[in-house]
Amino acid sequence: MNFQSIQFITPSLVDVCLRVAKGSGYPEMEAVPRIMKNEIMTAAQHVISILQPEAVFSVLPVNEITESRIISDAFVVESKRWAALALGCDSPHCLYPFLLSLGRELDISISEMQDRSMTQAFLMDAAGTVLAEEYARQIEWYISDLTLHEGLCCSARFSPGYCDWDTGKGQEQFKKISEASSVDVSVLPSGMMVPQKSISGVLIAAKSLTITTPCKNCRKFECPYRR
Amino acid sequence: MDEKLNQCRENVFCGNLAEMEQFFAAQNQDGISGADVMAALQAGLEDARLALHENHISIPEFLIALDVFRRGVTLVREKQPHLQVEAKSENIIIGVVEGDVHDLGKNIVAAVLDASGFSVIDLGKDVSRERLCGAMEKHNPAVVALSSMMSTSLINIEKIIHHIKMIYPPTPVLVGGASLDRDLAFTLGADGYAESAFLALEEINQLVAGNQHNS
Repeated sequence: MNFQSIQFITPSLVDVCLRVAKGSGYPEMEAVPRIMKNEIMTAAQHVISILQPEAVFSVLPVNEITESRIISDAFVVESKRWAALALGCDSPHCLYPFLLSLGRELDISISEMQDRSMTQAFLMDAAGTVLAEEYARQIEWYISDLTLHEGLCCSARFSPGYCDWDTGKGQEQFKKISEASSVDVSVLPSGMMVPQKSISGVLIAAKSLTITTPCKNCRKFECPYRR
Repeated sequence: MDEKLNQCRENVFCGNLAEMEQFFAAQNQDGISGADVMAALQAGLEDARLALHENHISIPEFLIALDVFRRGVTLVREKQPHLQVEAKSENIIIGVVEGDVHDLGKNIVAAVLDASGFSVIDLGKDVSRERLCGAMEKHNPAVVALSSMMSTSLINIEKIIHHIKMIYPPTPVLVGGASLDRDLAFTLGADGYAESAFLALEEINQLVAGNQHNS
């Protein structure tokens, strides 16, 4: 497997604070008490200062699609729903699996912070989640843009645990990527990734796509990940 | 004196760290006992927990109250190192199940239980069945509380619960974490489920009361 890396754009401090506040239950910044604004700002600043984001992705030609699997040489997506999406594409071309990590320093720092301030630890964790999601979004945009230049289009990104892709089996695929690439992510036997703020995901590129997620054909209307 | 203790309670509830520290700077002159201050600190934290339960404050606001409470406890102990605080007799063993290392929620639960007077034995994260059983043998807990944030570690929770029920059948098991809901918790064999880190105290109190009633 060959890997490519990505350079990220760190979002502004204000943007991170707004998203942390929203994630903490405040509908808008005006609703956040002053003491909490200071706490959120401190936590977000701290996280941004110690971030070590890194990511790799690979381009793997699709060899075969069955009713329940999308198969490339070194990576398999075992999911009936995503296989159905790929079967419905015009010329499914490649899989783009990626691994993203915010670095081990953040885990250590959150862990150490808990002795001094649970508030700061909680808000740092929330800021880490916000940033991990933001960087995953940047990876999605980057790969989509890359494929666009080749006359292809991309599915939405998806991860083990989405739809019917078993988390454990999916993470086994990403374990191969973590072991073969330079990105500092360990996949434990349980499927859990260390550092904790890591994201694994994949996109499907094809000549054309009628849908970008299986959600339109899915009747799980209550699914929290419905897009 | 009551007014000062009420102020202490209010400082925890409102997360006023500076005022809490000022209170302790003056405490000796007022002749208030450490045990009374400790009770006021606990009452303030309980006020905050109930306010969170009623959605009157946010989770981070509760955590500020928890931080001020912990600082208050440290200051009481600095002033009165030999203070005997009335504690509950029950031990609670808590840990994150094997295969999972997300421990922030578990640590919040442990802090809340500790603040409410339980003796908490925190086994940390990625806790194996063997380690848990060793701790149960040693501490004879009233409740075992386990958390799992990953769906892949649910199988380990189920195995551990099954083992506890075989070896220590009267000991109730409480579970919580993002990968669980109430139905799944009981399907896996748990005796209780905590929807959030802040509701764990009620659940544990119920399990302890139920266990005392049965024994």
